[in-house]
Amino acid sequence: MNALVALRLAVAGGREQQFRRAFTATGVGVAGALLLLAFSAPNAAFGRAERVSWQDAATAVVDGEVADPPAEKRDGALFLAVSDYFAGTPMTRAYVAALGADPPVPPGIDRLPGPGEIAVSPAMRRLLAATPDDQLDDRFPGRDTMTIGPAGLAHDNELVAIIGRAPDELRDVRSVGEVHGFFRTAPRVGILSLQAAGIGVGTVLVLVPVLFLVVIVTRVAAGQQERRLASLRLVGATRAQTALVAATETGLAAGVGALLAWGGYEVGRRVLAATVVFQRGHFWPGDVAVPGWELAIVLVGLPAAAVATTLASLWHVQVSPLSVHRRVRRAPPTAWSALPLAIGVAGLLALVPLRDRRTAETLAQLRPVLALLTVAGVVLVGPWLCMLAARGVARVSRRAPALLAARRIAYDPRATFRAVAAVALAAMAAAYLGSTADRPGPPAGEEAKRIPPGVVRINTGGVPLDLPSAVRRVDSPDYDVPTDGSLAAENRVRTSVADRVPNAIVNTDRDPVDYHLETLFADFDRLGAVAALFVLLIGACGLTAGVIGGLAERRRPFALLRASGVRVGELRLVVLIETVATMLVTSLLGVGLGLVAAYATTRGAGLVWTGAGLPVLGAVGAGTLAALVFTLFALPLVGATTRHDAVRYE
Amino acid sequence: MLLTGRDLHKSFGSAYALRGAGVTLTKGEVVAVMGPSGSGKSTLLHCLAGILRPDSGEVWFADRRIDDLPDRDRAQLRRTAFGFVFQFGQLVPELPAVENVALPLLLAGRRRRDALAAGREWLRRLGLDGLDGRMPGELSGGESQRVALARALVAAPAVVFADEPTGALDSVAADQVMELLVDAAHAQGTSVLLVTHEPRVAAFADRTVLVRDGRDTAPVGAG
Repeated sequence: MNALVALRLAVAGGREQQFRRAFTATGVGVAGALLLLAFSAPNAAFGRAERVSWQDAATAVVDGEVADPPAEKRDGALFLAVSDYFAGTPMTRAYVAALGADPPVPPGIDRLPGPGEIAVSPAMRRLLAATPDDQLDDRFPGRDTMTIGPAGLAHDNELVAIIGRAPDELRDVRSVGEVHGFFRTAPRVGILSLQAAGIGVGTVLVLVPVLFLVVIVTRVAAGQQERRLASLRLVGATRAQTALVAATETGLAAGVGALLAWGGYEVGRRVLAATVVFQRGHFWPGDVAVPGWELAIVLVGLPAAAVATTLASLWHVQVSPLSVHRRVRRAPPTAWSALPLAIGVAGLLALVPLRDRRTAETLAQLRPVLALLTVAGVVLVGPWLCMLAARGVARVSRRAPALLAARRIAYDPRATFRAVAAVALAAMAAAYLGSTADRPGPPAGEEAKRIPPGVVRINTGGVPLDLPSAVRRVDSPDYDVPTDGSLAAENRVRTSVADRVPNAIVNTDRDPVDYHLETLFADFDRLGAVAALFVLLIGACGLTAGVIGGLAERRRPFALLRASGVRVGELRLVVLIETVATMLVTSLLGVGLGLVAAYATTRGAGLVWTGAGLPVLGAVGAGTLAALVFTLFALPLVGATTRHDAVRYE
Repeated sequence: MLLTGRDLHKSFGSAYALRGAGVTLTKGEVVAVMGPSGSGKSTLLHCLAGILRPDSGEVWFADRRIDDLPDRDRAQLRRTAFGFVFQFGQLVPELPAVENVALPLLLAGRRRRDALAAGREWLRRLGLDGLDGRMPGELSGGESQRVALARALVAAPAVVFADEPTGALDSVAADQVMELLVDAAHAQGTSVLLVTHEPRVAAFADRTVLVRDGRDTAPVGAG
């Protein structure tokens, strides 16, 4: 049998085969699109950080803690970037002065603004136009001659201005650095390293439910396929030839699914870029994307995984010319299956108290391995838990639907868990992603340092401030300027200070206490909730696919029960109990383990972990409920698949 | 008459399955419906049992017309007054033998302990002692059909509908199953409507009706 014959046989077949192929293609399409969109998230975060990394050039040169940006031009430039606020919204005020004819240029503009010129972001231009000059424009003296493009902006709403100055005007200003280039990539330290660790573990947690989804959609109605292969064996096909037919059939369907995934991803990433707001701005569409090699791996890898699943499942059955039977009946899961999970969780918790930095850095390499072991542990222990739960339900059940559901779970706990595994892992991923970077608790005494309403507090770094209304604080080098509390008054003070001490740090009670970090963590709460819902969507798809697959397998027994007078509602109840019982048990386990992993990661990174936020737990609960509601769409199929014709034919 | 089907017509798209077939069944009687493959005998059984609604004609059970009942009422009738045995695949694969037998009682709301006791009793009566905990996949074809018989009879139905109940069995096992079915039916006064294409199986019936091209022809004698 050559490949063409295999192809012909693979595309032949009736409605059952068409349903199988469409189901596999759709499942792989959904799985692939969701996976690609999930993989886009880290790129979006890092892409945003990279676009504004140019602002750190002077800090690197002056502080010397990180390497200077690579030299790009022969001549240098004096540079200073200052954080500022407008009504609590962060803005960046950068000063620049060319030191020759060929100075380095930040991304987003094509030349340095000269003395008396300013380059502004579109959002800043709108703000300048809408605000009286004495409150804001005077803080950015010069002619607006340039627009900063997306290459130099984190997002479309970022407030940035680059003010051109003569070298003499900047030379003596504190914190100004002479730079010969600007960062184009962000060093992945600090928050970014936490993000990277979180995203690494999160990727595993997303990948596993997706693979489960692929396995479920590939294995749907496998019994019919195996019987079909047996009929091929009857006419002389070898085991290898039947495997070729099965692999071709799955490969074709999954290949179509990969194309659907690509299309879904291209649409989805544009929708996400246009709708998701993170740190006050939308993502640039170019950032919500995966690199070409990642796209290729997913689009080739998922069909390959589907084909591998088909071949692996064929290995477990002996397809003879007259029948299909299992090679061996698998032993029921035992308590030993909990061992990997116990090791994974114990290992994660054991790393937490290690405060020594070098030891912690070395052992931090273990964290993804332990996280992976924990995820694998959930996969291994899930069937055992399902079996225990089912036995318990069977023992106490008084109604036939509950007994049927419990016996079904206990009969093949691995298949049952496969159907709900995606939700359990998704709940784990959601709890983890949503609570990893929780809002840090205020340091001791922080409350005492809060700025009273109506006061503008100024830190000049020791530079005397020549401002009549400024009062030097007794206990610190800061100055306080009392105002009437209006935004206009505050901005007049900010503008006056910027004119006198360009690099002064100016704050009021309108600004987030922890500046940038506070908004970052607050947004992470929200992003965590979005991620939770997103990952649970993968789980919901897996759950629905599992329910439909289970129905396809039991079409005839269910149809015969219905013919014997069992009501469709009772059959639906059986399916619902199977799903709800196992989903609840495994999802609770998943949430618990997700929180443990999040605690270990956050504490391991030296941050304060304040537990899962209500938005995250709410999102996990709502998502799990939504996953369940999602499966309700599959329940009408119980009626459709158990009609009269299923009594007579398979 | 306990069950009567008159002038039944049924088509599936453009294919006619029944063209005026009918059959009668008295209390405790065993009637075999015979005919070649595709003659409409299974469709006749499904119409009489309320699984299918005929396009025209009438079905009466215990002086009550049932073909025009809503689906819900026909389902209720099937679970309370009828029992079913099919050719294969009727046992719920996840339930052990005793729970498969007890299933109709559990569905009817009987206490679990009572239902399981009745299930064990029927397994014993059908010579399946000690197989209570066996799963369907661990039973032979003949044992599976006897479990199915027990399930069909456990709720003491008025009529058992058996559609090719021995179709997947060898002749020895088939004879054994038929003897048990007929004996058990006679013992509790249950009527049996048996569909088969095998004269050897039909010979167990009190009476045989021949169906050809969707019509019943003259009875071919008593069994």
